[in-house]
Amino acid sequence: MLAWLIRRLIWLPFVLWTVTTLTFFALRLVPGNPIQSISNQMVDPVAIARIEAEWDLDKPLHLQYLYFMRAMLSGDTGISMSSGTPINRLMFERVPPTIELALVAMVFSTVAGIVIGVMAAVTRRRLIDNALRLLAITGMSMPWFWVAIMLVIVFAVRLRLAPTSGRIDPRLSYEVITNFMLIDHLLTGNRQALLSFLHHLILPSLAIGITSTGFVTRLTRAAMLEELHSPYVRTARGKGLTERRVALRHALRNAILPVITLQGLQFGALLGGAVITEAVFAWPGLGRLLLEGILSRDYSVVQAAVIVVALAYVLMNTLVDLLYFVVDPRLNQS
Amino acid sequence: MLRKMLSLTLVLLLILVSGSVSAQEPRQGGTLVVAAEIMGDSLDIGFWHGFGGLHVIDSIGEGLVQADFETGAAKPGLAESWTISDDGLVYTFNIRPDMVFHDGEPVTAQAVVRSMLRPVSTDDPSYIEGMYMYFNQGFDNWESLEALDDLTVQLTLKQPNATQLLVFTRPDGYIISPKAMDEYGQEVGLNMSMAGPYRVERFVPGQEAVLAANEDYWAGRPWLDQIIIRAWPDEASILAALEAGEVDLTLYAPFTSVDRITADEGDDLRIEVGAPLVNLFMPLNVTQAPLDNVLVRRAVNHAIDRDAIIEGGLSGLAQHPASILGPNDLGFDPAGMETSRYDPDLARELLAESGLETPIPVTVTFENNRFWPLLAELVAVDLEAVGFDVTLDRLDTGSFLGKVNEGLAQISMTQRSTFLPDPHDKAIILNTVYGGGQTHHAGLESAAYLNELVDNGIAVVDPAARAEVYQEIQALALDMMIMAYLGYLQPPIFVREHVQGVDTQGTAAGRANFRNVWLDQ
Amino acid sequence: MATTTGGDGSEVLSPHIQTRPHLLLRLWQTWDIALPGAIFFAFILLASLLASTIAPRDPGQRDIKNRLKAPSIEYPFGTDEIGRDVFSRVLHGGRSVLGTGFLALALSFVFGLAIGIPGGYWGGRLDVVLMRCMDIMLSFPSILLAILVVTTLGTGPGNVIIAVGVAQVPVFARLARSVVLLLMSQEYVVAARALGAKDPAIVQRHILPNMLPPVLVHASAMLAVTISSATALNFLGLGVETGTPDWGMMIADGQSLLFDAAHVPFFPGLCLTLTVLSVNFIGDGLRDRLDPYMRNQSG
Repeated sequence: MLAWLIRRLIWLPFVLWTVTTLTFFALRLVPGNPIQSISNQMVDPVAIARIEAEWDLDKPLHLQYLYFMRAMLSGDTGISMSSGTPINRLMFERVPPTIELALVAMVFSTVAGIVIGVMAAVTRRRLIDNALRLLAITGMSMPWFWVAIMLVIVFAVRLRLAPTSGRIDPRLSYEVITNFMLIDHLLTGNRQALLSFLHHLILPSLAIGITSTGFVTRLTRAAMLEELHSPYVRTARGKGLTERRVALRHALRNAILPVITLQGLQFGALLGGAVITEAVFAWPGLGRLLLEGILSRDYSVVQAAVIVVALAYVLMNTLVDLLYFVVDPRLNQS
Repeated sequence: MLRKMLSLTLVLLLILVSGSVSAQEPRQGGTLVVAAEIMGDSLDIGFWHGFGGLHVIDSIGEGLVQADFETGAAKPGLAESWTISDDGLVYTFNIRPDMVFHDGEPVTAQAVVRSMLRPVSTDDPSYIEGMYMYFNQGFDNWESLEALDDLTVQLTLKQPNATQLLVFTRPDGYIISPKAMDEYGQEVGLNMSMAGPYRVERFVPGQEAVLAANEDYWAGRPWLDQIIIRAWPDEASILAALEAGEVDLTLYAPFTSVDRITADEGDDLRIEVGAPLVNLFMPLNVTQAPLDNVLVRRAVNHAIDRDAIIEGGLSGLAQHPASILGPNDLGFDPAGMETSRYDPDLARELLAESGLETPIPVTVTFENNRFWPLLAELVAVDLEAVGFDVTLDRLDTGSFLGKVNEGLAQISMTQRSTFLPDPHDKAIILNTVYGGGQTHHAGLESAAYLNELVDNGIAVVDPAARAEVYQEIQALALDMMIMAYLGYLQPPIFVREHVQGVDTQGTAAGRANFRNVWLDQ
Repeated sequence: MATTTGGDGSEVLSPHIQTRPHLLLRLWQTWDIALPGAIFFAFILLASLLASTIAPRDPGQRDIKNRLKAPSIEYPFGTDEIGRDVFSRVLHGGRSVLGTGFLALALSFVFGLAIGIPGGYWGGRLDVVLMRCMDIMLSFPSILLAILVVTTLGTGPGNVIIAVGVAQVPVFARLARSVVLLLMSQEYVVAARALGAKDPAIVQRHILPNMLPPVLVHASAMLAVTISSATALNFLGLGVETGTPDWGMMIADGQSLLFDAAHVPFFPGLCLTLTVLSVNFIGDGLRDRLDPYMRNQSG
């Protein structure tokens, strides 16, 4: 297994290099550049030339690429072109909230999806099955920002059960250590901040979770039905095990594989940021950073964000494949 | 019955009295929550971007002078007085004594000079490559900037510049504490310390800033205890937060809710109408057919029913336009309104005269945010009515700016706000050298003369003579017909009822400073 | 099979219970929730196809005087910001959004399977290379891809399909690969390979039919994703051309009206949700029918 893992991770630099290279050229291929994005405020051609020189934008493309690769290899992530902020600092600000949101949404959708999916499978084609599926599928059939804005209107504006947006009540005083709020507030014992953070987390994670829950439910149900008809489950049933036991012990174990694939991919995607959800809930995640970076053609921010996203994908996929081995030892042979 | 009425009258009177009392006397205390669309990842004045960050910087910072948007004059800021030599080249500023930055460091002439020379001091620990915003300060025209003593700063220019004083009111003209520059170096933007009425309590890059009243501000502590300025990238969410009572003031809620909020007396919201300081207009790219034909450009100008656009697209919150300058600007000439009158028949005649075969294909390029898509659709209605075939080209901000800058757009839709109350700030886009890529008329015969006029606008220092220059600029630009004006936007400022003392001038210009805002609660 | 507890529903399908019930009931028994899904979907499809005949007004006809009118008899779904009839636009708007959604889905489905099956089947170096390519595709920001497509090829339905479809290819590739991997360890595949059957034959006879149920059920679910992505692109201004009646565009444009003229985004949103819902229902029913075990029982 260790050899497999090493063989797998050897590819990481290659994937990162390809993605950053593709991004490098894509950014320069689309219209607009960082200078044009700020030139509404800066109009003096002499000044523009000076900035271009400072950012190496006046150099030929291949030289720009060489400089870029050199900086990458020396681990110099540089500063944001639009704000002058060190990229490392921006990642410190954006990555933890992204992970928090992704994690909570994933846990929520996995648990809810599997529970509903199993319930639907064992009550197949009865009213309860249809009702559960209707619920799950409706959630995922709505466009993302529709779900998000509806949650805001119902729970935040009308019922006032949760705040509309943000990550924490800014009025509170709190300390930032790791920027993972759960960890920080637990470490400092700041109960008020912790509660406020959790309160702010509810709606955005629900918004993502509702969509994913539908997927997990359907996949679980489909896989469970398949497994419930497989010979070994029929054997188990023949041995007198009750339906619930069969469902949970045997069928679920195998049914969980496609769920892991799906959620692994989904988690990887969420680590890259949920642009729409972050925009609606003013959540300071990576997706917004990437979007704003792309819109203002802030090359250095986009490049850095893309590396983080690629890392997240590759590591999540590796983890998913690792989990395969754990859940299904049969695969070990291949 | 009578008693009932009497008591009712009494109650009403009491309310009136108490209301008028509270209207007169601002109260101290409270937190103001402000929503903006983008915060920006730094408060560095050499890099600021997005109105959220701008609101923060305008609240925490101050330059030598401040802008008065109503009169267009400079008023004392960190400098309590100043003198300008007769030749307009030497400015001497007298810094207020006993002022301190937020970090306790005294405000001295040396600190002012160091902060203002930061963009050219490559050996300063806080120097960052690419500090693009500073270039607005015009230091290429500075002969020298020096501290004559602890409280006197002297600036010597190479050429007279009529806007130099007001340029110091830009955010990039604010003064940073030298201690912060030393202590934080290149990360000074994340730990900003200046001398404005509020200080930064917490700054979360790209997300929010928590500001607290500066007890040591030279003009006295502001009314509010605390301001929270937060970025909400989505318009509908800003409106939701406003409806939920989480936001007290914003400029960025959708225009479409203006009518309801104005009409609804029962809600907790109110609209304060901003001054007409934002010019909405459509540059016509003369390098692109069919707009290379002046008849076609004039037809575009006459085809547009500005009243319908203002009513339908901007909830009536705009004034009829006349030129690139706004009604509050020096030298503003309202005569341009006649040139831009709505006359679809004339537009059709002009098109017929042009000899082009109708429908004439034309592309309108615009940004995919705020009211632009709606305005573009409304403009398309008018253009199609006189014989154009309109393609709507809707782009993300980056692509839009790229396309317009590279001269690939035909008709684009854009705006210019009165960032500082000086006509040059708007007129400069008519100069093909400094136009920032917004206008494309370099090929026209009178372009060189127009450039000269725009340059003259700052070279001439005497206000009366300047006004004449700007009148000539406006007339010439209209004659060349290089842009069609849509309106002087009066941005709606959405506030909750208890918010008082909003500066509708500065806020409308995007330069919201909350030094006079107070909460009636 | 009459001994089953009925939990898996196979009881109703047992031959001796089928005493010629009403046709609709029989259809329901066979197709379950796929039936209402299919009926509704057929309805939407028909309405979209016949939009130009049914629609009371031209969907592009602007009428500023009648802007933002609430739903009435004259305007069943009200009017939008520039006075266009929302009902007519909803009728016309289905074509664009469904076309985009399905074609993008088809694109990612075909390419995903074409990459996933060989990867999973032959494994080894090919698999590694293919999957790393998928990692690269997944990591490339989809917004940048969309901007790239839109700014180089222009706005238009075809380019939305490319931008959305390409972004989903890796999802199908990985799914297909994982299903193939599972099937490879099944006895019948192992046996076929041991007997020396040719690879294409094995794929065609054993792999494809057996992988279809899970992949198809996922595909029907992915329609929600492709449509949502296309809508999100509209939201970011990278979608179809402005003015094109398109549900996604109408929701994206109308979302700022949610508090003031909710009917503008509501009706397209409702139609979109119901349509995706019905497709998912069909997918679920289809899955049940394609399930080899179920097929054996009823057939």
